Amino acid sequence: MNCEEFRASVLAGEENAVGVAHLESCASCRSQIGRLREMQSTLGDPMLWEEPSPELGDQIEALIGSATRSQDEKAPARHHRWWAVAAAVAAIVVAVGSLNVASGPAPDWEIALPATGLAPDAVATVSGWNEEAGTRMLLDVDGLEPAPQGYMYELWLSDGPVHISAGTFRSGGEVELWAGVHRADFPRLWVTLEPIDDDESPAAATVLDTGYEGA
Amino acid sequence: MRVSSRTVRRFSEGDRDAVREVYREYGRAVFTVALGALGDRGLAEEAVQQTFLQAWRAAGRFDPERDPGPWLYAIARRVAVDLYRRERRHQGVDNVEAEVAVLSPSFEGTWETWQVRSALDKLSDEEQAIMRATHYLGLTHEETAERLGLPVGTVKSRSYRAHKKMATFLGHLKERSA
Repeated sequence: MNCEEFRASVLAGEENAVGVAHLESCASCRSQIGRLREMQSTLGDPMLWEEPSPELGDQIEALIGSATRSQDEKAPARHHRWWAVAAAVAAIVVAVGSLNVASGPAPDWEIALPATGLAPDAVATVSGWNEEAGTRMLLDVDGLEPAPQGYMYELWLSDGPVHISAGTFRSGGEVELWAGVHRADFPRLWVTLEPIDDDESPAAATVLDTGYEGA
Repeated sequence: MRVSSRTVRRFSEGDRDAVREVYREYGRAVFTVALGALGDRGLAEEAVQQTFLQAWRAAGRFDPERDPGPWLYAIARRVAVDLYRRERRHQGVDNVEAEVAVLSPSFEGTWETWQVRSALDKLSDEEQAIMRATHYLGLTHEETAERLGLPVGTVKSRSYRAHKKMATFLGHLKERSA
């Protein structure tokens, strides 16, 4: 029995007297025997043999496909010069709107929202005004990709396991949001990428988070 | 066989064929690791989706000449931890960090599981069927032969060939340090 045959027999769970003799004479196989037996045990783990749903590949393909289209739509085409004009007009409108916010009372608090690995280029801050009925917030975010088709971003205020949604949005810029609670009671602010479905709890895809400390 | 550097480049551009190819190559390994860590099929499939979405977003910064397997594994593991934390929060566990700290028993062996699953995926369909019958169903060669409608000799030779390949694929793994 050579090393190759011996190692195959261990993985197959077919160790025998010939194998024992080989092991006694082979330092190389002795150095690997523990690992091989661990792998033989792993092969018997039922979880190893579970298969994902057949449609999972299609779902991932569609998810990435829609995200790709969102990126393509974001890139300006040269022959659509009217877009630039429209964007300039929109910018003026946003600027006027911002002036309204800026010319109002100063925010009661302002906080940076660190970007996670899902949105490494994003830079975001949230300014907040404490009102009697809750909290008015202005989220200012740059470098965040528009949400893919079928998805949206959602800002959450959280206190441990309790999450309050402050509203949803599709792309960066300045976004006004509102929550019926106070930040003093819900100190964590975070933004997730949410599939548009009937699940009201936060999804796993966190893009901005006051609690994020790096990967 | 792993996906080519050209495929990884096309994957980063969102090419549908490349996405399909990378998923075909690594999807089951990502799923196995996520399932092992989270213990729930639905959560594991969510983890697979998030893993491939994150990988696609970061693919432009990945060196396409390298094997994407360890990179995908690292993303999958991080996604699984995030999902685990989220689920614990939903269940009202106060000390989430402490809960994650004691995750190690389920997460510790995930790299080995990834390697074994990846090695299995390199076998032919016929060899995988033999491996499944032997290790998952616990059948003897004779029972496997009857189940698959093959001569016992064929089952034995395929089994030997499959295990020899597995030993070769996994031969680079070293003894775990104590």
